[in-house]
Amino acid sequence: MEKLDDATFKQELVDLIPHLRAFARNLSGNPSAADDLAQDAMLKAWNARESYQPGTNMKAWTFTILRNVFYSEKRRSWRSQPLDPELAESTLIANDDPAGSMELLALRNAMNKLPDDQREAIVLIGAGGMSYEEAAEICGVAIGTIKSRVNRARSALAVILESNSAGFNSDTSIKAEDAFNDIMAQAEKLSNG
Amino acid sequence: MENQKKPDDSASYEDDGHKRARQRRIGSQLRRLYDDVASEPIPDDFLSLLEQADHKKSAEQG
Repeated sequence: MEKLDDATFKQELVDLIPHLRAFARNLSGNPSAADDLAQDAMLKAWNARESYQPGTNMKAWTFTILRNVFYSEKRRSWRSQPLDPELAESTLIANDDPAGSMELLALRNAMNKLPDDQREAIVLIGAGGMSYEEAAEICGVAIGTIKSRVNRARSALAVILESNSAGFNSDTSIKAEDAFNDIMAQAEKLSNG
Repeated sequence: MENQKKPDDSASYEDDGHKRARQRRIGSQLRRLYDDVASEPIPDDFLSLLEQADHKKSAEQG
């Protein structure tokens, strides 16, 4: 099959940048590290354009590249700690509904506790709109493996979220509002340098 | 929507219903975490990096 000309390839790659950023953010948890990861993946995809087969799924192709970059970078270990203040800030500022933001933040933190293989499976299937076949190809495993990772991720997220909300209501009696104010204070401190 | 079926065994049905509702909630939030980022405008540095890479190529060829 004909190769895409560079201008067409570039346009299609640009159209995928929002997805590369979203996939990176969900994999890595840390917003600025995630954008570095997405940029690396974008440039690697551009440099590898000769090897892209037109007519195949470019989104899945670029996600495979991003994933490879993620795991090679990860060996140098920049992955964020749970409740990274930068992450808390970006999650909260992005939303005008504090209760909903707390819920999203709780989910983000729960995601950070999942093993990598489960996290990437549930991001690809549950958020990134990939089919099981595409996710299996991206991760280099069988379709059944992806299905079982997604199922385990779903159960684990439910358990983690349940135990967090139990924690909020128990003897420690940290109210969601206090936690929110605490995070806002952290975010403010950060933005003031 | 939550009441579309009559439970036969109410205890386990409610438990399953609760689990399903929770999973739906997690599912929609997962999509939101992704979509919130995917719907942001593309940061300029992405586009300028790609332009640079493209120009580098043209310079090498030309």
